[in-house]
Amino acid sequence: MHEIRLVGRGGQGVVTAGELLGRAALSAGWWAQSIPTFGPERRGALSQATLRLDREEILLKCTTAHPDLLLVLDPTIWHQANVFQGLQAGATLVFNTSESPQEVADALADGRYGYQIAPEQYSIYTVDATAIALQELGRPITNTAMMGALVGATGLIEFDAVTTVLDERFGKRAGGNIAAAALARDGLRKLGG
Amino acid sequence: MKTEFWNGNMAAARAAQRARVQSIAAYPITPQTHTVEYLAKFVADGELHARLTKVESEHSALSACVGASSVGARTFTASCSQGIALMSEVLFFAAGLRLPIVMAVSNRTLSVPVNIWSDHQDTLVNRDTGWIQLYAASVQEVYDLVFTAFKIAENADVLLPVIVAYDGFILSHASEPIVPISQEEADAFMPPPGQGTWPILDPDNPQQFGEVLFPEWYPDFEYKKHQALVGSLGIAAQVWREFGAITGRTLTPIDTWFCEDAELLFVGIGSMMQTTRAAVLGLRARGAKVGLVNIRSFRPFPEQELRQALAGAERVVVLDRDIGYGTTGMVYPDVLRALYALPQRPIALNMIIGTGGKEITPQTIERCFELGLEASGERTVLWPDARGPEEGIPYDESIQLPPAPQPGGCALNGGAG
Repeated sequence: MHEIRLVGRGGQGVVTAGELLGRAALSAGWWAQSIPTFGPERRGALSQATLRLDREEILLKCTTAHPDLLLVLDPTIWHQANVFQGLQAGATLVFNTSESPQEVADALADGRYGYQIAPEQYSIYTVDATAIALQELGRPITNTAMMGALVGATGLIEFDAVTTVLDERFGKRAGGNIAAAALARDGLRKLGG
Repeated sequence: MKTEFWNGNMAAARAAQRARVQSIAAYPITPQTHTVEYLAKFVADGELHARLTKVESEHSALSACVGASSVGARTFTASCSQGIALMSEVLFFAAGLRLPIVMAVSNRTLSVPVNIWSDHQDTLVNRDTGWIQLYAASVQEVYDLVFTAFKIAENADVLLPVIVAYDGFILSHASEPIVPISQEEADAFMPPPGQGTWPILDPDNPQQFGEVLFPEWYPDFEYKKHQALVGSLGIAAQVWREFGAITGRTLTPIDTWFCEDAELLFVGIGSMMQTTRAAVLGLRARGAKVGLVNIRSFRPFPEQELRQALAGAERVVVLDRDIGYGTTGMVYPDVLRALYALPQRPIALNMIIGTGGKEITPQTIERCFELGLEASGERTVLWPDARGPEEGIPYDESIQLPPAPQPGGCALNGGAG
């Protein structure tokens, strides 16, 4: 079973990304479950969702405590909230940031943003999803770009399945979102890669 | 039918649509709000031919449902928490008038403290209103239970309203794969709406309902209502068998899971029992003889079935996501009643967990298992996920409540711990 934690800020489409990825995973043969975490949500504040993928029915009815994949939709949310709690060893971390994977790894190693983890224990990817979203959508809503980044980093879901759900969800506006997803998939940079 | 990826609120709304509900009156409340929005959209888009009555409160919502059902309409509403509290007196009216209204409830606790998250307090405090109460453990079950509820409720030997309860957020907002029933299959299964198996208000045949009943006959009326609720268990089981013949998904008043050789059995309701299954698999892998019984029909209470399922256990741990203040959780006493007639009674403990949406994880259940094995049985009500001198989380009198978050900062919510 894969357990994915999606984090970002209210307004960036964290919950939508979880749901759309689940929908895409379903068509790829996964038993998927998307659970948004709700609190006093407001634009700009921490927003998070759990996505689980398995080959059989998922019994757990709770958010993930031990993700093997972390998708960070916002460049600075991890400076203000500990989004790293309970990560499985070897987890894949995908950051939306203009920084390089090495810069992110250095920041995680020395804890300069308040949260310290050992970067060598994880697979770290970065992509500038905000720039991609601004270019393709005219707004810094990064969820669809980061869906593409997840496909690029993990291969858990086919890109075609993602374009299908984006078509279904956004209709005439799907083009920009699909373009953003493709650019983020192709623009991923891997630590040491 | 194609597998859909729906949240619990969508599953409830789609199930009501498939049942061809004719009248809906509901007032939005978190976390039920989607349900009303989805149904309003189905009606606006012409996908559902129903009268959607806008109301100013939950008291009015259920009152409008009583009116609609009284003229024979297949009637649906949805609420939770403070909303059901405001409906309170009308809950008794609906059951007393024997109206087969179906209400979807995305469980949420009651204030105060203000809290929008799930526990079963809101529906369980209404256990004695005369409504059937069914608890879903997954999004698929939300769909299946809401859909079949209409057929159970409208059975001429039942004629009682039904609550289908499902945990707020953890099912209401969670999306999972679900297989709907096709409209053709639905229409073959469900009697056409508005065919009135119950007495209705009709200008051509004037009658009065809900009039004064003097003491001489009152017990007879209560007796019939009670007997109808008791008897609905067998009818629900029959309806679910018919549904299973179409869908391959058979629902039963209780589910058993690794009961045969179990020394300790968990009993409870709602989505936490799915998490408990996962925990049981983990504990079994480590050699523990543990199992569970999930109660799907809380009212009527499946006493016989439960007694049979629990007969071999040495210890029974009743998980209550609620608290009957001053006594025990509200599921526990009924389980004790089922156990009382056993020649060898197990130690029966009550564990209060997950109130106000505190996450119930496999680790929570493993803690309950450990406490369940250790407990002498002298103290029966335990709080494994609360702080207290004798409770699950170590307690220190000097610990103060956490300070309010500072501007600009935010804490990671809930279970990601």
